[in-house]
Amino acid sequence: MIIIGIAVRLVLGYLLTYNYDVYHWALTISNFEAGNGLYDVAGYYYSPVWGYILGVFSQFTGLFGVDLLGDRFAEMLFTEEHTNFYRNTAFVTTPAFNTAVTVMLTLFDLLNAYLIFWIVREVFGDVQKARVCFALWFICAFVIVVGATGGMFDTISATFVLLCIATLIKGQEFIAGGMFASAVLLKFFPVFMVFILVAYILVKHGKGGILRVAKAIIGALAIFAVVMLPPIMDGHLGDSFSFLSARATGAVELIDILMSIDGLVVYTLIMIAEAFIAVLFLKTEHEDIDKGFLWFAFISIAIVFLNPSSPQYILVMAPLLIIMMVCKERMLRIPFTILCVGTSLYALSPIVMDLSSITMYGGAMPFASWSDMFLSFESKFMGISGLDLWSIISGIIQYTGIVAIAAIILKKQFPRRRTESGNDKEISE
Amino acid sequence: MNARINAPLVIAVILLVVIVAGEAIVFTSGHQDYSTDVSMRDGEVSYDITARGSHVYDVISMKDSLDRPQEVAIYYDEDYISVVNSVSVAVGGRALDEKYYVEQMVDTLMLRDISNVRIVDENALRIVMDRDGDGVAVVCLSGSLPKSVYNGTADSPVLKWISSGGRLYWAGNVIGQYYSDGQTAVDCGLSASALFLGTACVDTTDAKVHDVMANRFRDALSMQNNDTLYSPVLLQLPTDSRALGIGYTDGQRASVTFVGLGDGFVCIAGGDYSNFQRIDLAQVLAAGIGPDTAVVDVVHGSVSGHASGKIPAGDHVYICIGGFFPVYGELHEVE
Repeated sequence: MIIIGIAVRLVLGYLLTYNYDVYHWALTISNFEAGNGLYDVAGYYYSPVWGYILGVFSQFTGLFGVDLLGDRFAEMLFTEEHTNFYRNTAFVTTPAFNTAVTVMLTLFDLLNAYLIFWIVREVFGDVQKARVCFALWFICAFVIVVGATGGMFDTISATFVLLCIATLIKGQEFIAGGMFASAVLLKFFPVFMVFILVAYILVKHGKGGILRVAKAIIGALAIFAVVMLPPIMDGHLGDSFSFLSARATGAVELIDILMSIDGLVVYTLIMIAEAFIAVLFLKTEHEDIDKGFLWFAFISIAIVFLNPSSPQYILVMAPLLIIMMVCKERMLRIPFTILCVGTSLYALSPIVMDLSSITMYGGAMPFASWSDMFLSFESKFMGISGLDLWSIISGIIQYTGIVAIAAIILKKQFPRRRTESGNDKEISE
Repeated sequence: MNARINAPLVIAVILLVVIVAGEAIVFTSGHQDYSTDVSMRDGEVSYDITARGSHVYDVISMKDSLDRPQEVAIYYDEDYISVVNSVSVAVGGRALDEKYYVEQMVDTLMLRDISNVRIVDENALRIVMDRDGDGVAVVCLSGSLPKSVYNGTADSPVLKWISSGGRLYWAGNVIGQYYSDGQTAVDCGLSASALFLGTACVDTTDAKVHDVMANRFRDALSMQNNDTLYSPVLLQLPTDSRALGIGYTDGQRASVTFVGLGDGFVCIAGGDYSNFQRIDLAQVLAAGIGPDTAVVDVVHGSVSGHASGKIPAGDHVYICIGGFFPVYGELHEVE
């Protein structure tokens, strides 16, 4: 099963790559190899953790002789004038570089599978279920597609979230704090879990909880300092968070302001909901605190995705979804299946551009055929192109899965039972 | 004794080590990891390249090319209005304003072995242009020169400076159309570009083009910017004009254009601000290209540690490591 999972990833990673993101990884590597660090010149827009991982990655690509990262193909320049849900670029990374990225992300997928296995075995004491969870993660369609073709590092953010949970379960709050900071500095979404993580420490350790929370905070600050010190000293603190603060244009227009207000409102509501979940966790009597924590942690991260997201972000939630589906709530099989279809298709929506590497380097198809396919997918009917339609439909399917998760959580968390008088009454666990 | 390994703790520590190791790699990699050298042997140029890691490289032998500039001045003065358009940048990216462009230009030149760069304000620019222009490069990204060096007439100091051998690298609007009187931009009209180009032939039609100029520079220098906005129409330049268009073309304009003026020249990088434009501008400046330059030969290769080879001799050889992902560049005069 592990071999199948690896093989499928490598084949997909070789055949299909979303070049726009992977091009930026190549650009980031060349920037720091040239002595420009991560932020001296444009190309890297995230906080430094992923850049540092690319630093280690670049040593391996150099070692294995990946000399050509990509080219800018003049014949593909026309694609940059077509804008849809995804960005197109005439920069095409080589299949060797794409495969190297896939190999790295596959290692993290494997690490996640093991951590899922470890958590299930540790908390539920069921090796068989642990194995099932391992398998469900490692051969999960959307985990494979997002990692192998998207080249995005969300799976690493999931690794740090799982490590945070695992070390918290083991009572190692200092390390857990460091893992939490790493997760947040990779992708912002895990920050919303802070309430439930603190609540768990307080419930599990009672009076000693405050001290342990302090240890976790110190761990988080220590990692933050280690990671962020260079950009702070170089005056690039703002650049390292530009993926949050700056979007798309040099000029601020009304629509940008409205969208940022919209985002602010949504995430404020999510924060309130997260605080509510943490309070609920604190007030609930748990038969097993660790099992209860995993369930509430799942609710905590699932809520974030009620704000519709890109497909890759789902990976941060997927491990807990799989664990809860196998160990607690079988109904979650329905949204999981929906996500396997929707998120996978959503991640594949730039499929024509995904084929550009093997077209330009591997000669998988004549360029003219690829170009015709691109134009046919881009041609608009009633203002919507085929690729836009693909993105919209698959995005809706994905969101249906999220809504289904929310419905199941609500049903599970607030079941309605018939009272003696025959009236429905809401109860909590 | 419980010998069971605390696997999450071990994995966490390993990942922290990876992060710290990566941090060290990111901040210790740089210019010192590469070097190039050339020597003449039997009428050919032998080149040697050393590089950390594996990279592609390009060696370009040129004739009628220029020595590395003795001084590079980038004009930037917040007290003098710029005439540049706001631009799109990648999602999540910092807006590419003039200040950010200038900051990045210094680093972009540095990796190409141009370290004698200084940022000059209006006063310092005037001092630069009061001197002889031979061997001096000025980069102007503001779309408007200050009034003290350019006032829309043929008597402007900048024109004399260029004629004395100065190299003016220009990006961001029509050359010569505007000058800045502090907070006011004075519009001299499109026709004022004739002062720099010999005739008013700048086309302000926006164009992202897909074709490549046939003179090999685009591939040899891994040129990236395919925008010809603000570039002169090559065939409308005076017939006795020294001119060279390189990079991408719409059939009439080139993405980078050199036009001679006296002993010097202007170099215009087409389009509004972009990172591609910045990279191309730095590349052609560092490579010592002028309006008379021609490619003698180009060698593409791969280096992993060390590489060497030969190329027919011209008067300069420019070696660039990394292709479209450049990590190092160096210009050599062929003795």
